[in-house]
Amino acid sequence: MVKNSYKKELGFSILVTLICALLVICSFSYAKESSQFPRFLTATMLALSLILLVQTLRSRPRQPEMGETDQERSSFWASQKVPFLVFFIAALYVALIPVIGYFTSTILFLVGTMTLFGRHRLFVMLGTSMIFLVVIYALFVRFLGLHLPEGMLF
Amino acid sequence: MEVLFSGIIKGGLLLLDPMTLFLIMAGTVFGIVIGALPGLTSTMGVALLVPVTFGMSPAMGLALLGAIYCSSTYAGAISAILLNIPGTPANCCTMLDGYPMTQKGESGRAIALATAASAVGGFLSIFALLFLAPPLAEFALKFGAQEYFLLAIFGVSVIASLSERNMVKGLISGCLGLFLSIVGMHPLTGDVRFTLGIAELYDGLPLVVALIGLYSIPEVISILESKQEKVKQSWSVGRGVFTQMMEIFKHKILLFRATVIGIIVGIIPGAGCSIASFVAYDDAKRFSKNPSMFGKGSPEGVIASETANNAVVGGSLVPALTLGVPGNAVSAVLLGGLMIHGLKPGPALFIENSAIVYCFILSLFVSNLVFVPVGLFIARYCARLIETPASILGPLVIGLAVMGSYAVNMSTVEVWIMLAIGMLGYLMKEFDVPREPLVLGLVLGSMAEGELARAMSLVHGSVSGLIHSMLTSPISLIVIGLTFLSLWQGIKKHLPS
Repeated sequence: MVKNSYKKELGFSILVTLICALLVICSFSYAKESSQFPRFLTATMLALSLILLVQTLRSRPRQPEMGETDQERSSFWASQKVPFLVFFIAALYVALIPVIGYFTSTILFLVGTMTLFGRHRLFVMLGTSMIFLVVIYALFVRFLGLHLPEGMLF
Repeated sequence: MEVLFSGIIKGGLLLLDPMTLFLIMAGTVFGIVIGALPGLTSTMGVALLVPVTFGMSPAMGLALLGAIYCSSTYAGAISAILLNIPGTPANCCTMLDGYPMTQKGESGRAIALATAASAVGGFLSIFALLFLAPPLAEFALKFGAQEYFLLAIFGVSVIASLSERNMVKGLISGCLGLFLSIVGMHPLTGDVRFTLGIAELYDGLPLVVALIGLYSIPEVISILESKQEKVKQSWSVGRGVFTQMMEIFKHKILLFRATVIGIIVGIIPGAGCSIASFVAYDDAKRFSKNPSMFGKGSPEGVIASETANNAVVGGSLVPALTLGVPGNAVSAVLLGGLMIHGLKPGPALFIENSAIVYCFILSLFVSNLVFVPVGLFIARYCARLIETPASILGPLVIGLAVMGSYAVNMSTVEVWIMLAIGMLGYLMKEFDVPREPLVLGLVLGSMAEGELARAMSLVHGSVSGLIHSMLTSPISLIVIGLTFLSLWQGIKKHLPS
């Protein structure tokens, strides 16, 4: 467990250091007057990420090296299932909005996500989705005059 | 003094018009709804209703707009406490302790405290507006570009005390916030930077969109992962509410300090409600008997944040009414409303149109009284949201987050930006990187860069010239001293005892 947490921290520190180094390089591609503050910031971030990397390396556990077990590996991927699903479904929903319209895609998204996360009573799912859409329509469209994407449907 | 009292009497008589009182009530309800909905800001609420006031008398129109300003600044606390999504950027600091209180089953108490603290902060700041406006406005005029830059840096120095577990991670988060805030056009040269070719980012990363993504998506993942069908708690808003509200008076000194911070920050143009609440929160933590409770559901944290952000309301109107220099974006829009009705801001306003101006100021008092019962009534029903099973609440929060980020500029690109920031927020939570310093950096970054650029141009680009100028200005020296003090307080906590 300790080793897993160390590996996670090490991976994070290396990733942050690489990103900061990339940002420092990018900050030099702009005119000096416009990039003084970004250069200062990215250089500070790079210095801090190096400190974090050193901190992580110094906290390396002194246990004998052991290979990662299949169980540890599978539990890591299992813990990433919900975040992956949330981002995937949300991205699909946002991508569908301009294509089939806000209202249709929202009903599909709400009913689909509720089903996926354990709600199976169609009446509750459709009822909740309809109430949500009525509130959105009343507040944003009728009252605030917001124009929602219509797409092929509505 | 005579002018002041005759103005108050004339303004009071105007305020007694039943239509004006009805408009204050309507504006309060509208402001609470706008404030509680993530993605809709006080500025947006006031701006939306400016055209509606065209057909009204100046006193009625300004009373309506003032009521929206007061109530929307407060109402953002409702969603911050119940859903961990700040209704407006002003309330992001309230989440730090408001949401943990909800998780502990104390949402009713948190909302009662936030409501009472908001009312007290708002009420006292209107007193300041009434009596201290001219001398305070004169003081704010002494702030130049370098003082504003140093003020932003002072705000960022609060990061040190916001990073409880790992200060380096907190500082990286703060720097990332500052970096994200400079995405877009340079304030002076107009060069476009770090936009990845996305036109919607030319004006910078929208703060509201970033806040929605940073806090809503990771929270949804967290409630869906916990597999608990019902999030613990309570629709207990309204039960024993009076006693809970009175609890704020156990912290009289905290209330006073947070109000003073809110008023001062409000007077300084460019700074705003979010900065005031972060500074007051940091100050409350420093002087608290239980600083370790901050971030874990401390009532003092909620009181400090909400008192300060509502105290900004009165403060921000001081330079707006007396000098025509708005303290923040909402007061700028309000100033627009004032000018639409033919009123010219400045010292003469208080003499030539004293009845209207004092009616407006007195209407803010009324609004601060009205939003207490109205806010508690609306919050009582909002609190029931928490009882919704995670499988229903999760998708609804994402739906609201998508709508909120779309509503900012009616653009789906901003919804994608919200999702990207949501992913960043999730990774930060997963790797135990505090998100609050990022928010602080995001709020202060553009002010810091803009003022630094202006200060540099005043000394013809000479760094030594700027340092010399800072070291010879008494206000700059005070702000530098406060910054070092703030940093030291933060570092001291991380040193081995």
